[in-house]
Amino acid sequence: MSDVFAMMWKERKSMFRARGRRSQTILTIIMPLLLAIYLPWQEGLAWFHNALSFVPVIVIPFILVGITIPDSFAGERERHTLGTLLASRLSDRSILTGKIAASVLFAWFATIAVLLLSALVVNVLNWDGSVMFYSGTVLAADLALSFLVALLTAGAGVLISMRIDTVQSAQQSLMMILMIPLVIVQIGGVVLLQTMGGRGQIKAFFEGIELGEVALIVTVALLIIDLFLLVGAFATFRRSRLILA
Amino acid sequence: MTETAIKLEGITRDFGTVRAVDDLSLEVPTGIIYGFLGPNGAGKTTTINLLLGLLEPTSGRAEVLGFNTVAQAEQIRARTGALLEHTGVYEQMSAEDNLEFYGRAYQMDPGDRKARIKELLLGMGLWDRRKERAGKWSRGMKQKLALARALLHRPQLVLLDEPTAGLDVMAAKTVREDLASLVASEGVTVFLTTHNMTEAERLCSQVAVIRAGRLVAVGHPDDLRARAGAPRLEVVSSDFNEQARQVVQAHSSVMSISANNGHWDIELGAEADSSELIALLVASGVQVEEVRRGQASLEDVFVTLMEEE
Repeated sequence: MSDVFAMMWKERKSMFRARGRRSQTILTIIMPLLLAIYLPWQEGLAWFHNALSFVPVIVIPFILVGITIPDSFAGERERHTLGTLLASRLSDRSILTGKIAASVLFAWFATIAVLLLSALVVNVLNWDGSVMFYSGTVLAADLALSFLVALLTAGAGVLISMRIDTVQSAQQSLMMILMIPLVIVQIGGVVLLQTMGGRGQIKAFFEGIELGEVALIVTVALLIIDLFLLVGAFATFRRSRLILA
Repeated sequence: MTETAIKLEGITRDFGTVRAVDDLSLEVPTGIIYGFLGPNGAGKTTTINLLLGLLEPTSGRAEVLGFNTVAQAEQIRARTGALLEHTGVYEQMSAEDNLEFYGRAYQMDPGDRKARIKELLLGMGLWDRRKERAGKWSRGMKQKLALARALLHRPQLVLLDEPTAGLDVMAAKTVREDLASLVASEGVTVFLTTHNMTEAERLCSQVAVIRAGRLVAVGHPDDLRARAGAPRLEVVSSDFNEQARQVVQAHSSVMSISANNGHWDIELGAEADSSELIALLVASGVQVEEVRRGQASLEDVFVTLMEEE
């Protein structure tokens, strides 16, 4: 376990410090701040009960892990530090686990910070003498979904970074691949709109769905996909293969 | 500790149709600096990767510090320090953090880690700049930092792949000096690949020469020089004459004479006595201004070996 912590220590020290990545760093700070303030300000007290709080929960880990994982994996190769790392006593498993854990936990804690900041914004703007907070179901779903989205992005990011030489190409490829499900959802929404005949009916349809049930289904689905991706990542991350790449 | 640090028995490594290392066998005793010489593409880096267990041989068997490179690669890497083709320095981190990370990776105690980092950085003259990002440093300083990293966990064996490649003369000199003094004080075995013959001559007590993946010579640099080239005598004078040439050429220890602009380069047999030849020259009326006795350099040996089929 100390090997994993050593790897995480190094990742934390070098995260967002690569030359020429300042714009990414600024983006990763501004984007969560906007999500933490604008959406809860618009929603008011409903923010604590409806599914809109899932937006930062999905977007923030997706963006943050989508930046840090390619930088961590393809970046080691691009900056010629991978060979020395592989020549150390750290096992393949420790290196991979440490890198994924550092990236996922960073994104997860950032998401939790955004959720707390959002709660603060809603309370300040709608203060009535008592502190309001997320319902138990929404909070549990937020925490689970953000962690699983981070893990999904990390697993996919590792698999992509292993096949691509540069950080920039790996980041672009990862974003493109993970955007596909979102595009499908959007297209599905348009089809649904045409089929059902109007926004009111769609809204009624979604209001009829139990939020906890949906969150549970999505969580289980993400968990299964995450497991497949992580098994693939651990199977692919091999010294003998990396040294030839 | 085993008396042989590295033992290769008929190691071959193919990459598709290309044979990078071809039936390589050698033994490296512990506690010496061993030079592994060869031109670019000769198979030096592949050999280092095989020794570290990063690559598996296509055939043959290799042991490092008594451990098999295929089955016990993790034990080898735990006891070995490496400075590979690239420095491997994390440029976005400080010099101190670079060493701190590898100290943690090698499970050094925090107190020992701190003291060892200070000892190495002080020894290499980098301590005052330890908080700076390594990316701001010169190539020579990064190379020194990489050397410190390779020695950090007090390995039994250090593998250095072209440690002074790309450095200017002064930086290369200081890296060589640091390496020699650290090796002397730490008593580690060093396996050093290079195509710099001066470096090999100054640092190594044994060398192996590799060409196209095959071992072509092995031994002490003096032995290789003696084996490859006869001793020479260089004589400087402004009044060489034909009579002197005939007298000297007739001497039994003289193999050949080449004259060039007031210099005679006399190739001698193994048992030649140069004082006899000087006496002959003086007796023939030559006013000898300067005499230098020399031998083939390791570079001459290397070039000869590379040109042989």
